[in-house]
Amino acid sequence: MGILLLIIWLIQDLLYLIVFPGLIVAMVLVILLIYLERKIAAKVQMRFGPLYVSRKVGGALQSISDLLRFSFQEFILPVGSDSIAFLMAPGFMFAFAMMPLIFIPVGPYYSYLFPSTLTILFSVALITITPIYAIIVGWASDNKFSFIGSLREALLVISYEIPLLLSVIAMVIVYKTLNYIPAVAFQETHLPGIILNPIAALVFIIVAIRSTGRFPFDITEADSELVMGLYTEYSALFFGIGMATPYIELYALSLIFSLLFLGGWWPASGHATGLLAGLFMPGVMVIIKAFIVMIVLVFLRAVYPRYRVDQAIRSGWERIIYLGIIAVIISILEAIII
Amino acid sequence: MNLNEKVYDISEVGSIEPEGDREIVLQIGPAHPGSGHMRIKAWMDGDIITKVDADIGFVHRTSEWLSERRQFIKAIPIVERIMLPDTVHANLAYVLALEKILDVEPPPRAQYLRSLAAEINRITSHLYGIGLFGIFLGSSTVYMWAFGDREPFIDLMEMLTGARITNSYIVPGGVRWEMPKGFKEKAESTLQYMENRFNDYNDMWVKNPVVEARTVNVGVVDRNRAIKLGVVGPNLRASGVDYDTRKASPYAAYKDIDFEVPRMDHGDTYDRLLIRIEEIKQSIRIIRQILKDIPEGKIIADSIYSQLNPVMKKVFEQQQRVMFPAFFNQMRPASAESIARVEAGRGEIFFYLRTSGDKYPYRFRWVTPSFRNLAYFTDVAVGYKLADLPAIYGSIDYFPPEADR
Amino acid sequence: MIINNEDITKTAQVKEDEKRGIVDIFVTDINALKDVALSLSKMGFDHCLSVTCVDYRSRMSVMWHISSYSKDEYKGHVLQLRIDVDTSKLTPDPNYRAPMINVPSLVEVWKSAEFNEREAHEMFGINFQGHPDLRPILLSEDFYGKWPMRKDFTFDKSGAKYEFE
Repeated sequence: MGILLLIIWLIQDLLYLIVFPGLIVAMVLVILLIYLERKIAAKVQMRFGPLYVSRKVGGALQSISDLLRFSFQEFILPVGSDSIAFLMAPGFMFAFAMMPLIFIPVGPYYSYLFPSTLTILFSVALITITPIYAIIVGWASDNKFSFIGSLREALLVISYEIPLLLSVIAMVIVYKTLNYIPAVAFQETHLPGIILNPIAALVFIIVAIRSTGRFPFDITEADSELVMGLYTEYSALFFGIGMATPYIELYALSLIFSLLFLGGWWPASGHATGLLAGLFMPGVMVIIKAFIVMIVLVFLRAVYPRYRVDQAIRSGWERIIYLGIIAVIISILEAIII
Repeated sequence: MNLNEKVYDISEVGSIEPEGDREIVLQIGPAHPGSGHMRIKAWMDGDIITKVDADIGFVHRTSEWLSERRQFIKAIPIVERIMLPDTVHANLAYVLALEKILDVEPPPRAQYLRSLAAEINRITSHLYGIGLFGIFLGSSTVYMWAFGDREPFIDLMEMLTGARITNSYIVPGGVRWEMPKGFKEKAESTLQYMENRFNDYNDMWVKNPVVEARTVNVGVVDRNRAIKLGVVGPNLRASGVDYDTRKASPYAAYKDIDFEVPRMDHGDTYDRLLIRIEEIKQSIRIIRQILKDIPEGKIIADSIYSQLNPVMKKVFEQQQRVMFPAFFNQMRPASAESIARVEAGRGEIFFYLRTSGDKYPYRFRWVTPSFRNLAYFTDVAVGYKLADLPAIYGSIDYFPPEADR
Repeated sequence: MIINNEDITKTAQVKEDEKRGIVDIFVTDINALKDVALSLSKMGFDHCLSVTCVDYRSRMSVMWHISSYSKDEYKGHVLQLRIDVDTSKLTPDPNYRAPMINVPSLVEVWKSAEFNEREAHEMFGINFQGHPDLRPILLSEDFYGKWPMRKDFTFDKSGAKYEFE
């Protein structure tokens, strides 16, 4: 009987990682998001956007057709590249972009699946690993543009990681926990985090834009300067993986944002248990909130051009980091009051 | 922090010699999203450009060589195809040089129609430039908007001349087509549409904080430097030089038209963006004046009209378009030389034409504005960052096929 | 007459063609070219529009078209600073299809002539002495030395021939 429970538990864990809210839901959302990004930008720009693939549903299958095209393209390995790193790095990058999802609960039932009290810490720590592989990608390509792209990535990561941590620390101080589930419970009883500490939310959003390379921080892939940035030498599925990684990162960061600042699964559940009421219903709520955040972030493409790298680094060190410190101070004051 | 402050002093950076292995050489182009049909060779010290060499000629189409081996009339399509966003001006400049040799003076209505076509063309050319500047800074919205808003004006040209881009509208002695019925109303509605769009451009592009951060104090060319480099057109006026060929040596109908030459003081990338928008406004003003004041009369000089045969005269009376007799192709102007200057959208086109009494031009020389703006790459970009190179490139509205001729 | 400067009229013949808009300054002495250019530059003619050559087979006419941005009274005029070089007595050079013609460069006077002189160099084979960077600019490398804009240049009409290495 115990073994059976263990097997069920393991299957549930696997389903959590692979189906909901893990890989499959993430990929579906990313495909949908890319379609919506192109369609919304097209609306602003007085054009149609994707249309001719599956015309009856407004070109919604364009992203899938792109994915298929990437899958069957010829892969080219540049002669001068460091071939092992060149082949491995995109995979690792994608894997480490997915990994924070393990530690992001989308419902109270999660505490039964992965009993951990340090989920905020783990998820934020895993988010900071992805850029290392982005740097390896640029280094392995043996291309000057990729190299400059990876240097830019390194500089930007260093200047934006600290504000991210400060923003999360600010919320941790308010919630007095390193676990998402009590943090959401705190927001249900008090106020959503975005009202408790709007500056921390602002810092988090800016860092999310930066670390996923959305405009106006589309600096590492600036096409008029660096061709395709890190992915200049990549083709076929490896290029597709490279392009999908920032979207997966965006998904993870949006989930964290909706959990820390938007009240998580509120109002979908009280203190429900069970797979359906404890994981699925709240999960849908969290993902809807996260998806709205994602759409807002990708919409910035239609509004802003890109900053220069030195301007982005300066604003990281001279503005955003102070905003992060202010957010921490506000949180300390609130923690004393509450 | 002030993002707009000047990061580097060119005079300081110009003297930097990279030590050891610090220097890298970037070959930007000819197959690069930010290069166009040219290769920009940039020597970099870290992120700072220490030297730039613009390698042009990838789309050299030997227009001078071809034109010297063809009849005079056949050079018109050749020069047009070199300057595709600016066809009317290329056409006009050549025809002005040829008319000085042929000693033909077009009638006033033809002069006004020439100015009208030229100003519509100037708007499309500036929108083209603004759109490419947008995509160079990463704003796909402005790129799409500018190219979309160029479309009504191209439709206007189609209505006026019968062709969208390569109109071949202007011929020695006048123009080929009469202004069609309903053109004035359509032109007025198009102009009003464009005037309403300026607000959108302001919100999305000109007043966008990121654009200001990227362009203010980047690629500064002061007045003396602009004169020394011999740059032309809006780039020259953005640096504070009060020079416009339309005022300096008026051609077509510009003598009778009241307009201002916009001018900026600072000469940076942002000024070069603003001046194009100001020039579009002036062009709108000129078009309105032309539509109001255009005189009645023939559209072709009498000396040409009298040579038409009766069938062609009938076509001209009925359809208001000029059909040319075949002997026009065989004309042999007297041995002479002439020059012509025309203020095109991107700057001044210069023509030198030498005839020898033969069917073909003896020497056909023209210099396009982009070729004269080439100094912006080699001289101005030094000392700025790699990311400023597309900003400078986009702001000078450089068009490689035009420079290569 | 817009040119009544003693320094210029001493060494150059000035001819003005009002109708065609050309002020032709014909410098007879090749050594005086730079002095004339300098005195024009001092008068306020501050930029070069074009460097052009006309090949009259026995002589090569090299001309700098110059105008002014800064002086209002000169803005409407284009000066044609011209020099003629006799090409019949040049010694053949085995490296090139036809010998180069030596002419002083005026880049020191008008920086804006730099790219124009490079173009004239590769098209006509004018060796601008004193030019800082006299490389071909528009044509491909295998065309160097053929001087294609000269009147004696001919193509093999049977088709484009390319020599691959």
